[in-house]
Amino acid sequence: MTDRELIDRFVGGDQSAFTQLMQNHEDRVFGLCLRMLRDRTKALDATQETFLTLYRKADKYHGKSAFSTWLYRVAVNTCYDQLRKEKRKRADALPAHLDPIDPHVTDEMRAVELRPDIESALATLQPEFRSAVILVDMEGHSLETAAEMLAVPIGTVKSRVFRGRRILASSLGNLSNPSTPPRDDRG
Amino acid sequence: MSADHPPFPEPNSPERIELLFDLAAGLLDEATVERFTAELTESEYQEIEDQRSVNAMLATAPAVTMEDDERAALREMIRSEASSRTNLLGFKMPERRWSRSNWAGIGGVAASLLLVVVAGGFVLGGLGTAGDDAASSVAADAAATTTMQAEMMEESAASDEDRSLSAPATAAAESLQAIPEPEDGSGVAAVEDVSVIRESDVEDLLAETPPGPRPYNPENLLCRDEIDSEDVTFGYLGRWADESGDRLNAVMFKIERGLEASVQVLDTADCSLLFELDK
Repeated sequence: MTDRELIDRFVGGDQSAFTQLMQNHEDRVFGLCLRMLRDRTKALDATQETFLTLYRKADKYHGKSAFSTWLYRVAVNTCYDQLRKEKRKRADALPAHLDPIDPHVTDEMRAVELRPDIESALATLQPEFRSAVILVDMEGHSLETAAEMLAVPIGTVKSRVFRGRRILASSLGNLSNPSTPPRDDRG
Repeated sequence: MSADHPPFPEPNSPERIELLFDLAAGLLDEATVERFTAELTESEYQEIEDQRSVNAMLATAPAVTMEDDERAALREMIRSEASSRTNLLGFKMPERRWSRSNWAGIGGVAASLLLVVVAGGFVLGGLGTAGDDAASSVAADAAATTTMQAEMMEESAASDEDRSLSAPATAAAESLQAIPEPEDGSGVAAVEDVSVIRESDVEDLLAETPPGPRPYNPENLLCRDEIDSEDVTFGYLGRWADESGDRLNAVMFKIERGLEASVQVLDTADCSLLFELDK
């Protein structure tokens, strides 16, 4: 059953269709959020919020774009929202002694499953560049789809990806350096 | 270069960057590639190489997936929250639901959150979320919400965490019940007696400090169609105090897109824009 059929069924009251939609997309939404937020807990937060938005606003989806485009746009905006709030929190940070100690902080060690150098380099990008690079270069979305997801013109997506890659190239150093660790998929 | 072809954009111009992107991505036709590469600067050659290298590196990054415990917990949380929304559509969820320190107590957290949702339900149920079958009966919703809240209050007594939330939730519910009930679901009736919206409220809303007026379900508010955005996150009704001291019935929307946010205040009489603030 297609996403379109599933969402029609869900809007019509079939709760199982929502479950199926979620199963179809939860990993990619989570992956997008994890790469944007670099924290599994925050990524789960954002994933949850994304699907709750879907639950609440499914009837607002009119099929103008692919369902996945619509859903990932919600996810991107949710991640932006998280980042915006973090930025404000950092600007208004509590004194260190009031910051609760997190006994599970070691979970941060599994923050993202990318190569550490790529992960660190991605973190240096502004959120707008990061989202464009993730959607186009990592998630493999077309420029048109990424433009819809980010609600910007295609030219803007190109510019953001280009500039993002430029920063990544700089952050990652000499890409042809033989000391660069092998990719995970080269076994 | 043939005179038939316009010159390529100047180096470092946005158009040039777009063209370089297309070149790196292989999106240009053969003739254009030939002409363009003939005039690339040395640094642009290097840039193209870097672009392709980074692209290749990112494209082969391993996929990210949830772990089994995360997936199970996410589904349970969604199921729990979604079912609690049956009569409470439109309520913005609390920001924080996952907690590193609460992985073992997800059930308790869910119960606490449901309590907060129930408290919010007094507002939304009482205001009548027009067009929502599940919330078609304001009285029924209010009764159901009250029952749910009572049940949750009982459950909340089971843990310290829940107990700590129950008192403020109750206070919030009592306070919110005082908001007048609209007659037609749009909030038009309610607007007469709610808070005055001031410019400082608009600024506070942009700063995410709760403003004086209470939030309503923005999708059901008057003039919502005037906001050409699906990114409206909050809606408020109130009396707008203009410079001359006149007070107009107004509706205030917060729109969040990407990292930008804006607030628009509209006159409910004709949906004209009274005030706008961007961040």
